[in-house]
Amino acid sequence: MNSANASGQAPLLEGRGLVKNYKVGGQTLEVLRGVDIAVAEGEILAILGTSGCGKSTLLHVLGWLDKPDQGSIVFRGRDHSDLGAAERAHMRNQIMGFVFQFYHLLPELSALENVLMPAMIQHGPLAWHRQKKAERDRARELMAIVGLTTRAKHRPRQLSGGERQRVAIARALQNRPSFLFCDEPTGNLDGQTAEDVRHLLWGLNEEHGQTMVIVTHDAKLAAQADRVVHLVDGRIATDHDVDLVEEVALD
Amino acid sequence: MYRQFLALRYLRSRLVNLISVGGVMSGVAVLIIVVCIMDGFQARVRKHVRGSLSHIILSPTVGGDKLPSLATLSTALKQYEPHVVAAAPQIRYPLFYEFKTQRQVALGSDGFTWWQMQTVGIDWEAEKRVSELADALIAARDPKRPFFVSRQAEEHGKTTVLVSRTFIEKFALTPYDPKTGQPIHPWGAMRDDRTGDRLSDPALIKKRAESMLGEELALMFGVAVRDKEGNPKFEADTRNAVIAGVYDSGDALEDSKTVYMEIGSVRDMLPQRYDVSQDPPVPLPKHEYLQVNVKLDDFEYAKAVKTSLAARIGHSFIVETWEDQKADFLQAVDQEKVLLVIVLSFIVLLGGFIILATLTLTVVEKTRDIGIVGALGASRMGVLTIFIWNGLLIGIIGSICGLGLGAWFTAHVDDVKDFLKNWFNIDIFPPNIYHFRSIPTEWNWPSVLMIMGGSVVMAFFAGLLPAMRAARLDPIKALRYE
Ligand SMILES: Nc1ncnc2c1ncn2[C@@H]1O[C@H](COP(=O)(O)OP(=O)(O)O)[C@@H](O)[C@H]1O
Ligand SMILES: [Mg+2]
Repeated sequence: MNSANASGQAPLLEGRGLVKNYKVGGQTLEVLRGVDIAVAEGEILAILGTSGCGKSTLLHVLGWLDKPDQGSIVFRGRDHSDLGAAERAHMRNQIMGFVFQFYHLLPELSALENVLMPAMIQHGPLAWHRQKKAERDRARELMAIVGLTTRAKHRPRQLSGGERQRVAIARALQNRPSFLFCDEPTGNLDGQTAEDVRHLLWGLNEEHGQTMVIVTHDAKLAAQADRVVHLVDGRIATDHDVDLVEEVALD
Repeated sequence: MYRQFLALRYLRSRLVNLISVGGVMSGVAVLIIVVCIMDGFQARVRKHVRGSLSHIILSPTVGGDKLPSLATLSTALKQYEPHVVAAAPQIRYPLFYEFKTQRQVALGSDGFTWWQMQTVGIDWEAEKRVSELADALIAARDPKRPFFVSRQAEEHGKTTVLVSRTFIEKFALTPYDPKTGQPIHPWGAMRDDRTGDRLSDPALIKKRAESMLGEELALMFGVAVRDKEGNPKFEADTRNAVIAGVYDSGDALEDSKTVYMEIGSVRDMLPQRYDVSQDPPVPLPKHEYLQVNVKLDDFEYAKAVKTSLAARIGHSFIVETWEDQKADFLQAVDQEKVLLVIVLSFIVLLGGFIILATLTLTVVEKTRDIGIVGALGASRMGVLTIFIWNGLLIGIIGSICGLGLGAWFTAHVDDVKDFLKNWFNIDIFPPNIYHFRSIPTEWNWPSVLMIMGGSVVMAFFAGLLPAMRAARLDPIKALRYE
């Protein structure tokens, strides 16, 4: 059963038969062994799996950060597997937003400058000169959405973990991406802060219809997604509505 | 935009980059200073050597009857070459001068010393037209007739000389007092005998010449001649000379060795030659001149005029331009400049190595950042340019700082020289070695821009290697690294 088919619309992003191997010391580590996955517009998809099972690898492959050894990525019905490095970089910049477990902010830049980074990467010096004001307004707006209006000038090291992750979320949204890819977004945060960040993400989905793929080993977090898939042995084990899981859990 | 932005931010955030900037800056500054001083030196050497040597120099290769008279030669020159403006005769002859000094070790207990000087016999009116000596005259009783001291002296056939300011200062001789307008105070053996001051005893001078020079040199310098039996007979022609004026051509080294005298006086002192084929030997007439200096309407034509004159009068004269005469010296200065620039370029190269080292460090340190901007959509080319810009910025900032420092130093080079002299007693520019009293500089924009441009290019290449290393990093691996 395929949820995209079930909801009656074509998936926004599809991974078909994704295979990824790592060669470590002469041995081949088969991380992805043929993953089929589809992301529908406007949904929150959780990929659940144990630590080291290849969740991050799958996310990187889906997000054009890494190339699969086999299989293809289809975006809006078009196969993009043959894109060159520069084109993939451009797609990342325009279509993907990444949020990482360890925030990955640039330490020498202020919070606002970090948020502006995707826009700076998008524009050359001349275009940047024209777009600067609009992009700054957008970044300030995002800082307000993530609740950090007063921290714009602060450096990452002057912010707490939760605040850093909020800046990272704002940064991921700067270029109005089609997808927000979150790799263990709350993995490094304590209970209440993790819940605040989750609340922020779910709010974004509710208010702006932001499509999200969230990778986690935390079943409780995954349970709140619209849909959960399990990554086991390099394959997708189940792909069904969370409601079912919840029902099972309730039983 | 992020490339320049991040490059600048990385530059600012790492103090070690200051060392790179400083390295490039010192290299650029030193090169600019040296090139400007060398250019200034060359320019001034050319100006002064040219000023005292005039454009074309004719040295006779024939003597006696075959030497054309000056009048004939002048007319012929102007007829052959329309570019010839004037010609002046000279007799250059080394003479010994005896004078009293406090500075140098005196030869006798009486404080008198001897000094050999190139004595240049000139015809003032003619010389004025071919060289810049008239402009170089800084003191004289009568600048129109600098060799004139007084009617009295003239009647008594006094020998008057023009000496250089360097010479006066070197021997701590009484300088000319421009306020009183008095003639330059005569000194030592050159004093007027009628004032009752000490006179050199010709017999004494002969004895000194004998003991100092030896036979051959004495003969060579005309202090002695051979008598009929072939033995050297000392016949020093001694005169009392009066300083009539002081000049300063700007070429301190040449000045310190040169004394000007009226051509007739020098001619008188040339050793008498005899036609030994007759018995008794007949005295030969003395040469009217031993050199003729020719001025052209423009030095530009010197080479062409030299060739055409050589074809016409080459049988009796060596025809040379002043550049030919000073070719070795001018070439040495050129050579020195090239050598210095090559040696000092190593400072800039060193700046390049510092850039290479610090940038390599920055790349290692920024591995995670490189992964992050990769995830945000920076291409490998983009990452490459971040670090190329980083190197370039170091080069550009260093060059501009070097330009500032070099310009300041070049403008204040004499102050720096005086400062070193006054405070540390180090004379970095002794006039007797470098010819000039002040350090000549010439601001040469093409050279300066070339130095700056070269440094920026070098910074580019120094940054290229670390930048390529950064671009080769796998962003995924960089991201996984925590
Ligand atoms: N560059 C790599 N080279 C070799 N092995 C790798 C590399 N990246 C990841 N791995 C291995 O692949 C497996 C999956 O990693 P990852 O996708 O990070 O798992 P997860 O995110 O689910 O914890 C792990 O065993 C990890 O050690
Ligand atoms: Mg992971």
